[in-house]
Amino acid sequence: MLRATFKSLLSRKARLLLSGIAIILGVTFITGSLVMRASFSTSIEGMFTTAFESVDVQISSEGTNAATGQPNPIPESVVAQVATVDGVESATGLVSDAANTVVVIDKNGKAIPAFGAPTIASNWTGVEDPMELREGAGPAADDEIAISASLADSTGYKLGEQFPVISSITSEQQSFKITGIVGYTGGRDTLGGEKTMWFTTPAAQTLVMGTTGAFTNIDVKAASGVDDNTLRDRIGAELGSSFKVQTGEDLAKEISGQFDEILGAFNNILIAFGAVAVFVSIFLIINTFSIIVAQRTRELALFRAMGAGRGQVINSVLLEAAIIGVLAGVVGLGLGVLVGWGGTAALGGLFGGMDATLSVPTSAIVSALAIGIVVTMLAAVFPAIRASRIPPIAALRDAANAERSVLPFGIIGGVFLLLGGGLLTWALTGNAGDNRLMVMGGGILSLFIGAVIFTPVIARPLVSVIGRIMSWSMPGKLGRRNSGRNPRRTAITATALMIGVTLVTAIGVLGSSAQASIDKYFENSVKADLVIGSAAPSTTIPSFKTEILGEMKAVPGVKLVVGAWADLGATINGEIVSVIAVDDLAGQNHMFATKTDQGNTDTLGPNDVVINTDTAKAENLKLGDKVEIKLTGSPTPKSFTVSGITESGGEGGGGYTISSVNAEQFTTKNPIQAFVELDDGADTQQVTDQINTLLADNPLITVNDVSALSDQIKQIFDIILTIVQVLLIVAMGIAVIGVVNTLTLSVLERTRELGLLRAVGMTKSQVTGMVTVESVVISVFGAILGLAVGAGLGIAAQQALKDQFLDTLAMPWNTMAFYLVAGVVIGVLAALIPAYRANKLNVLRAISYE
Amino acid sequence: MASTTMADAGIAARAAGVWKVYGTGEAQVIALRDVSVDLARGRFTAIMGPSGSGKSTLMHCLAGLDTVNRGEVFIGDLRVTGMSDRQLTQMRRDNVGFIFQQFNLLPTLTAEENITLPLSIAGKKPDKAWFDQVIDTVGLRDRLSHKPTELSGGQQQRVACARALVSRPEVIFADEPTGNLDSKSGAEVLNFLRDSVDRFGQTIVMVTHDANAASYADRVLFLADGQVVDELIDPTAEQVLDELKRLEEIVGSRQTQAEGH
Repeated sequence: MLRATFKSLLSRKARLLLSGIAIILGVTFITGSLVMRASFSTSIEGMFTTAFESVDVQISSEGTNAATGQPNPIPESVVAQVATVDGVESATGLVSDAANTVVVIDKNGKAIPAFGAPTIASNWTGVEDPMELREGAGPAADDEIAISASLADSTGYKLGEQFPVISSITSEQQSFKITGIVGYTGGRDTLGGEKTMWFTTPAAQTLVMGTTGAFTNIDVKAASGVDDNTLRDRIGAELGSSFKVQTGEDLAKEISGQFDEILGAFNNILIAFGAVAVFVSIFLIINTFSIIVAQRTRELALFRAMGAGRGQVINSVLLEAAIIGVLAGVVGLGLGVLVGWGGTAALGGLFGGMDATLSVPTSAIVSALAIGIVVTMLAAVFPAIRASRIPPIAALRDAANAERSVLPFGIIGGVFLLLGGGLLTWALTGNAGDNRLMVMGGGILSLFIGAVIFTPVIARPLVSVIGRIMSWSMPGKLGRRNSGRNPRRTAITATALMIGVTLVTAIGVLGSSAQASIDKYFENSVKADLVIGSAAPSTTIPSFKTEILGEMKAVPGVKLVVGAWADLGATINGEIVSVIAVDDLAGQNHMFATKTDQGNTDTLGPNDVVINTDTAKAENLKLGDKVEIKLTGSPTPKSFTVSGITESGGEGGGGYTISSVNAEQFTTKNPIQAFVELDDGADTQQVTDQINTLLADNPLITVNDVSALSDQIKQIFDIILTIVQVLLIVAMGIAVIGVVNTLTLSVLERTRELGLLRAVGMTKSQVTGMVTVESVVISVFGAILGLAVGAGLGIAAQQALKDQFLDTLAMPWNTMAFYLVAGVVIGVLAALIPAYRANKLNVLRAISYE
Repeated sequence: MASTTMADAGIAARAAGVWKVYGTGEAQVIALRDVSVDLARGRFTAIMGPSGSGKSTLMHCLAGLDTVNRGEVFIGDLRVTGMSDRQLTQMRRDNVGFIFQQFNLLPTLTAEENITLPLSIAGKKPDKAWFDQVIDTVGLRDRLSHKPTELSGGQQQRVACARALVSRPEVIFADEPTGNLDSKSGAEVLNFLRDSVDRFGQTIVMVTHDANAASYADRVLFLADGQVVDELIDPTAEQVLDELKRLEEIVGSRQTQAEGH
C-alpha cells in the first residue's frame, strides 16, 4: 500500500507540483515575515551596538515632557555630581534632539519634513570614535555649526555656507555658518541613516530645550579597569530614581527594541495576509485531492477488492497529503528565508547601508512545517474519507461520475447565512446594546462562512447564466456545459478566487466610504476655506506669532479669522487632557457648524470652559461645574467653570476649550492654527499668496486650502488601500493556480471526449476556445460572488461604523469593475496550460483512453 | 504514384503501398506492410482479421487519425498523406464520419446536439429534410432531447450512427460498432448501416471481428500480419467464419515456424 502510494504520487508529478505551489506561497509569506523580523532585529542591534561602542555609561532623565516630547532636562549640577563618582574618568553634558524640534530649511526655503530617518540636533563635544572630521572644524562660536556628511549631501549645503534652521521652541528662523563636515569611520556618511547637526552647547540648549544650563544626557567615560556595569550601578545609586543610567550595551538594546516593535506591528499585518493565503490554499488542496480521488476510483476500488481496509485507503490519501505538505513546507521555508533576507537588505538600505545579518528563528521553521503538513492533511481529510467509501465493485464498473447532492451545503451554508443575517439585524436595529460591534463582527464572519459554504448551491444556475453570454459557438457552449458539470468542483475552485475578491471589495467599500465621509464632512460642516497650520506631521507642533492673526484679518477678501492655541501638557488630576484656546468661540462654532446644547457657547470669559456632550457625559460634568486644569506654564491648577456645552460631532472632539487669554501659560504662547473664512467670490489663490507673505518667517507653517486638505487625508486611505490590494494579490495568485489545477485535471478526466471532438473535426483553436470559456466562466463566477459578498460585508461594516465615522456609504464602482475584468483575464490566463495539454493529446490514444 | 487525384470516380477511399511501423530496433512492429486497397463508393466494406493483423491500424490510417510511414492514402479526391494537422482536422470534419465501439457521445449534450455536433463545430446548419430522414431511419425521433445517460446502449450507438451520417461524409468508418452491444441492438445498428448504404448510397468501412456483423457487408477484406490476404464478395456468416479459421491456422503455423528458428 505504501509503495503503491509513492508510485501513484510519482506518476503524477504535475498534480504534485500544482497542489504544492499553493502551500509553498502561503508558507513563503509567513516564514518570510518571521525571518525578516528576526534578521532585522539582529541587524539593527548590531548596528546600534557599533554606534554605542564608544559609550561606557550614559545618563538620561526618567520620563519625558509631554508638551515638548523632549526628555526632562538634566540640570548642569548633575554633571559635576556624576564626575565625583568613584571610577568616573569624565562626565560630559550632551544635548540631543529626540523629537525633531530643530528643523532644517532647505535651499528652497522649505522645511525638510520629518519622514524616515531622523534629523538630530546635538551639542559639539569634540571628535569621538566613530566620528571623524572630513572638512573644517567643530563649531566654536554660537553662530557656527558642524553637520554630518549625510546632511550635507541631502541638502546641498557646503562648508562655509549659511545653514538655516528653525526650532519649534522659539518659532524663529536662525542661520549658522557651517564650519565642519563630519563623517564616520569606514568612509560612512551616517551611522544608521540619521542626519546630524552639532551646535555649540549654549546654542544647542536654546534651540532644543529653550533654556541654558541643562542637558538631555550625560556621557560618562569609565576610568580604566572599571567595569561598565559596575559603574552604571554606582552612578545609579548616587543619582536615585529620577535618572536612567545605562551602559552602551543597554542603550543599543533599548533603541533596537523600539525599532523592533514598529517592525513587529508591520510583520503582524504581513502574517495576517499570509494566513489568508494559507486559507485560500486549503480550498485548492481540497479540490485537488477530490479530483485525484475521483480519478483513482478504479485503482482504489481495486485495492479494496484485493482486501485493503478502509483505514488503509484513508491512510494512503493522507500519506500523499503529508508528503506534499512536507515538501511544500521545506520549499516554502527556503523561499521564505530568501524573501526575508531580501526584505531585510532592502530595509537596511533605508538605514544607510546597514549590514543585513540573516537570522532564521525556530518559529519560522516550526510554522513552515506545521502549516505545510497540518493544512495539507486537514484539507485532505474529506477527500480521504470519500475515497474510503468507494465500494470494491467500482473497480469493475465504468467509473460513473455520479452527481452528488449539494443539499448538505445548502443546509449548512443556509444556517450560517441565517445566523449571520440575524446577528446583523440584531446589531443594526440597535438591540444589542454595548456588544453591538461584537455582534456585528460575529454576524459578518458568519455571513462570510455561510456564503463560502453555500457557493455550490448557486453554482449551477449562476454558471449557466454567465456561460450563456459566452456560448455563441459550439466550443463556447461545450465549455459552458463543462463548467456546470460538477457544481461542487466549480464552486470550490471559484471560492478560492471569491475569498480574495471578497476581501479587497469589502476593504474597498470601507475605503471609498471613508473618503466619501471625509468629503461630506468638509463640504457640510467646515465653513473654513483656509486652514493655516503645520506643514508636516512632527512630534512638536510649530506655531506662529499672534500678531499675524490680526494681519490676516486685514487681508482683502478675508471675512473671518479664528486663531487656535493648544496646551499639550495640560493635566486634570495628573492626567493629560486636550486643552484648546480660541480667540473667537462663536466664529469657531460657525466655521465647524458646531451646535449649542446648553449654556453660552458664543463667548468665553477668562475662567470659562466649554466642553461637548461626549466629554460632559464621560467626565460627568454639568453646566456650572468647576474643573481644575493645570496648564503647562502654571505651577498650580486653575479653576474653570463650565459655561457652555456643545453638541458632539464637530471639530475638536472631547477637549476643553478655554479663552485665548490663558495661552500665556500654554506650551507655546503662540497660536498653532488659524481658520480663515473668505468673502463670497474672493480669489482663494490671491488670499493664500498674501497670507503666505505674512508667514514668510514661518517655513513650518503652510496655508492649506480645505479642499486640498481633504485630498491629503484621502491620499492616506488610497495608500492603505493600495497596500492591502497588493498583498491580497498573493491570495489571488493562489486562486489562479486553483483554476489551472481544476481545469488541468478536468481535461485529463475528459480525455476520451476530447479525442472524440478532435476526431469529428474540432480544430485545436476550437479546443482552446472551449477550455477558455470553461475557465472564464469559473473565474467570473468567483469574481461575481466575491464582489457580491464583499460589497455586502463592506456595507454591513459601514453600517456598523456609521456613528463612529463612516456616515456616508460609497461603492468603489471603478475598482469593482476592474475586479470583474480581472476575473475574465485570470480565466483566460488560467486556461493556457490546460488548453495546451488538451491540444497535446493524441487523438487515437484519447479515443481509446479508459 | 505521381498523380494526386483519383482517376476512378468510383473509389471513396484508397490506400496505395501503405507501410506502418511502430517502434524501432528489437521492439519494432510492422503493423501494415505494403497494403494497397481501393474501397468502392456506395459500398459496405468490412475489414477482418485476427488480433494484431493490422485491421484497426488500416482503418485509422485511411481515416486520417494516424499517419503512414510509406505509401499514400486518399479520401475521395483528397490526398490525406502529407496533410497538416489543420487540414486533417478539416478533412475529418467534412469528409469522414466515425462510429466507435465505446459510442463516444458527449455527456453534456442532448441526443440531437450530439448528432449535429460535427456540423456545429464547422459552424454549419443541418439540412432539415436530410436530418429528419436520418432521425426517422434510426428511429430516435422521441429521444432527441435526452442526454446520453438516459439512453440505452443500442440507442446511444444509433445516435452515433446518425451523427456520422448527418454531415453526408465521403466515408463512414465504423470501429467494432457492435462490440459493446447485445445481439438484438447490434442487429438494429447493422441493419441501419446496411440501409444507409442501400438507400442513400453511403460508403461505409467497418472493422469487426464478428463474422455475423461482417455478413452484412458487400465485401470483406481479410488482413493477416499487416497484409491483405484474401477477400469475399457478398459473404454469408459461415463463409466468413471458415475463412477466419483458415487464416488463424496459417498465422498459427507461421508463428510456430518463427519460434522454431
